[in-house]
Amino acid sequence: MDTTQLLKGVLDLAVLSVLSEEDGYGYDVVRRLRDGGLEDVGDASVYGTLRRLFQSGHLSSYVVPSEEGPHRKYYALNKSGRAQLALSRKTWRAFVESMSEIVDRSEGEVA
Amino acid sequence: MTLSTQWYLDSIERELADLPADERVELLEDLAAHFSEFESDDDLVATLGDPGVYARELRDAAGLSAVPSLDTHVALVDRARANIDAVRRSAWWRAVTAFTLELRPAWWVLRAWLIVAAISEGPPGSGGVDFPIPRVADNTLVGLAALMIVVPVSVVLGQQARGGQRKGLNVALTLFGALFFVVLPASANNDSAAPAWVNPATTRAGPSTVARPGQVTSNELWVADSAGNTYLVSRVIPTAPGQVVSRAIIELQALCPSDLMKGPARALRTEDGAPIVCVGERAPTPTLNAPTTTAAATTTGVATTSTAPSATITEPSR
Repeated sequence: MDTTQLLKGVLDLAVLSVLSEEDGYGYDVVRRLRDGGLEDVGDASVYGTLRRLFQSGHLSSYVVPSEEGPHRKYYALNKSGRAQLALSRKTWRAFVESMSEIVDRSEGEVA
Repeated sequence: MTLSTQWYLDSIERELADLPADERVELLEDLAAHFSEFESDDDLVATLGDPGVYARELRDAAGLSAVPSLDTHVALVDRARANIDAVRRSAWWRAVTAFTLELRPAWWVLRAWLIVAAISEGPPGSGGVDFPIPRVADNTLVGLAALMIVVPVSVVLGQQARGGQRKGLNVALTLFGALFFVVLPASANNDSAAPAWVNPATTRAGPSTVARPGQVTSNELWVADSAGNTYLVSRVIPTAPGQVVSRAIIELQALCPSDLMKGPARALRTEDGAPIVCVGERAPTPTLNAPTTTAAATTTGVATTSTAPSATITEPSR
């Protein structure tokens, strides 16, 4: 199964979840997702998702000045984002449950 | 910013050239800052992959305008094609198509008729065409013969075209027939331009005349059309003494214009069926007090004239 395809559907949820723990900037969010186990997640996909979620009004952003390098743009969940996260969590859980049932059942049959 | 980073950004910008300028600029500035995180890596391509691929992935994830405008045209064409296919596959369309194909033989006959009608003259003087058999050269039999030739030719051609042969000829014949489908109604409308005839009884010619056989009467029947043109309808040559020439209302089509006098004289029908021979010619100028009442078209009045006065009668009009 191609994980890239799977990821496409749930990247919003992943990004929202990560940000709900702590605000993050682009590179940081990618790293946290990969550390969390999504090794295949693409930089462009995460970056694009951040922009889209921001434009949809689920995220707020602020710039943190830095002495060494360029200023970093941080993203944070706002109220709408938190609501969206809660909804997505529910949908996800229901989906996982159904899929698990179907998959487990088929495994049992074969055996 | 390293050279390779700038190159990477430029490559991405090319991919996103279709975006509105301010959106694109803002995005690239943001990306530049993002890429600065990778400055430790020498080669962005090794870390992030081909810039074109990166740009497309980014476009996809960010929900930007899906495809550049060129592809939009392709997408539109594809969608149009898909819609057409869907209609084609639908049951009602197939029913309509099947029915139309059943009608094809009828079209072969119709186009043959149209072609014969095109060369026919119709009832004398009219812009219309006789139905069901068009008159050719003023002869119904000739028209019938023409039909009996053209219709089988058309049908056979149609059948051959269905079998794949002579398709070009078949198309040409169809177009020919279709052309006259359009032309015929147009020519028929010329009837409205035909002048209405006034009742000759109200013209100068009086109702009665008495003449000797063989004598040309001085009582000529003049008719005037609604346009004010006058025509000599007949110079009656009675064969019997005391023959009365009463009113005659001329059938519309037989205008007896002067040019007809060059050919065979056209005979007109009167109400009692007796033909009037049109031997005169157009009056020079209206010296008549032609009344302006317009009669209805195609009514025939009462007249008695010699049925066979002279050799100037050719064929009856019906």
